[in-house]
Amino acid sequence: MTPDQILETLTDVFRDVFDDNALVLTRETTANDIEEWDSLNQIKLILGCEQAFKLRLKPREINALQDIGSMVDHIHTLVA
Amino acid sequence: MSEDTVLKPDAPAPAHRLRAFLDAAPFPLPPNADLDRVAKRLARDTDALDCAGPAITVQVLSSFLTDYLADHLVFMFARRGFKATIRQGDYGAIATAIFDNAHPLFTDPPDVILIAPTFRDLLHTPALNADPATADHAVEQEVTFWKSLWARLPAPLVQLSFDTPPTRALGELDGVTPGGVTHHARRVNLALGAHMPSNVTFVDAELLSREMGVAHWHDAHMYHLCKQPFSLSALPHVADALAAAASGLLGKSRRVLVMDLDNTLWGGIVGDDGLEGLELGPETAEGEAFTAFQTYASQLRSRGVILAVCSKNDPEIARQAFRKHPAMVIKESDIASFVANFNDKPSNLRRIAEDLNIGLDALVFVDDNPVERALVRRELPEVLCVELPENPALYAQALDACRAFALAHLTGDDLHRAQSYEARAKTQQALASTSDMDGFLASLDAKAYIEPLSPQNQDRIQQLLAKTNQFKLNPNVMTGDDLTAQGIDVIALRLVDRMQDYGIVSVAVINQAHATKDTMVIENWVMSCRVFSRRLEYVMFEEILTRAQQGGFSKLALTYTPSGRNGLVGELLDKFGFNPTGSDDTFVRSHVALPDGEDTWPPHHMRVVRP
Repeated sequence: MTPDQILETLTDVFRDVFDDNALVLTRETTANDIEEWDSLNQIKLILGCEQAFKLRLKPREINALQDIGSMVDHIHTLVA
Repeated sequence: MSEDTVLKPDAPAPAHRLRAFLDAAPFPLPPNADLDRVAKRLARDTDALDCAGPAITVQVLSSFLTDYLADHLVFMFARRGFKATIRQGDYGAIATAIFDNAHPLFTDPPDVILIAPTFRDLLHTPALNADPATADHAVEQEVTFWKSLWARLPAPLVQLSFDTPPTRALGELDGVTPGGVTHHARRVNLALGAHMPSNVTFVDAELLSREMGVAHWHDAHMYHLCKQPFSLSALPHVADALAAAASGLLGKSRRVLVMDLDNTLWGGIVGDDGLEGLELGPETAEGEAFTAFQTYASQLRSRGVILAVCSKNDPEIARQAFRKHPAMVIKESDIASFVANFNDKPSNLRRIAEDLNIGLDALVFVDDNPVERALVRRELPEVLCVELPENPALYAQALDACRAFALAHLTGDDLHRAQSYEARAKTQQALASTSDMDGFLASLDAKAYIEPLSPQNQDRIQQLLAKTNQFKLNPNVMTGDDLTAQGIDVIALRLVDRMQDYGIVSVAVINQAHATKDTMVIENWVMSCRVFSRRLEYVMFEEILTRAQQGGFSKLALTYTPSGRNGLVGELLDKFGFNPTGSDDTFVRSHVALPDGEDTWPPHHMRVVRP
């Protein structure tokens, strides 16, 4: 999977969790940019990503990521 | 159903929007219902919610994370005809809420309480090799405990019964050996059921877990991620079961089963096929299926559900089937209102409701014909229309899964009058009786271990300092270097009680090298919401004072920055004798002595263990 494909799939997961079909993710997007991104939705995002990318994510690794770009890169190392 | 049919920008009136939301969850709830989005949207649409029915407050108490469940509860209560406001208890605090006279349960009683314990909340599970007498005594102790909670209830209660653990050291014998947890849980459930007062009802967790399936009830991954024991896909079903039981307690249980006849109570059309042509009885598989369905309806009747008939038939021909067919299980005399004619069904349902002097919202309608059902659903949204599957063999289960006839405990038409009277009486009773909070805390046999910073606990300590929101002095970030700097002392508290080891749940960082030499600074202090109402803050503050005394300090200072979420810290600072200095959120306590005499703090009943 290429980083662009990962970003696309990630966008689908985010749109599902936040119930917003117009949501746009860039590499620079952070938790500060999405109002409802709290710890409860974080769990749903992790579960959504696990399902979408068919892998298991470690919350500690995910929680340490600063922005969507790092998340894409992290997932890229796992799916490559 | 596509998304667009649920929500259009130029949305119709709120009542129609509510209808559209609720149509996403027919009766019975399909096994894989994905209601996350719909539940959230309805919760946000207050105008639509207003149309759901009378407003009620629901207090949820649980030992696991209930936030996700709360989202679905609003939807499921709307589905049962209530506009519910959900109040969630502090994480992990069931008994401490009920023993606390100052809790909103008593100062502002809800209309109904939902308690969701799990097997992890069993207080007296016997040892693996326990003998029968010990196991018996353990069951008695659990019952005594729950009875003491129930005696204090300010409102009716729906309680989830105990589930059983996903792993069993005793294997298949866990359910039948005195030392088995499964054995203990089942016996406790039976005993609690036998002692339940009239304002308490149960949702059977074992049956619920069976409906949802092994893959969804115990979800260890979910539990370790966020302390919710079952998967997200199970949530609508758990919420549905709780809301159905609650509406029974609140007097909104349905009371009448209105049945179509042809292809619903028997196979075939009696007007065309005659009695001999009907499929009913042991001769064929279909016949057996309809017999089973009639048997189920008959059982419902014998426990108080009223039966009615609503059929497009000549009335005499229809009645003849009841009188003459040898395999009919339901008798003509079982039917309280028999309406057979060629009028439309909505009109007939209205007539049945009038006949029985009952509201349309007390009716449940079963009809094999989806077109008839759609018409009734459109014309009479208050009637519960069961989505019967195509196969008659599944009719009885489909009706059963609707949970439409939850047994009511409270009588009386005026929901609010009955509830507020009960609530007032219970509140007075609870306030008058001595709080058993101290007895409860003492029984937990808790130990607070004081730990310094170490490589093993540093990650956890930094995580707590970073992630805690409610009990936190200020948002100042402390890095690993900050924590190991000269003069910095980290006090970590690990809580262990009879039930479990909670790990490190509170951290205070004190600075013994900072600022003026007689003031010790508390850089930050956090406590996990998992252990609120355990009085752990007293243990920590005593330790802070002890360190201050040992260090030769005479004052304490800290920075408290209100964040919108840490308001409870403000109250605590007041209680602990801190005063604002008026500059940069700094608070000072002008002495380092413990309080005495009248001002002593409540006992924390914990043994404090120092390294």
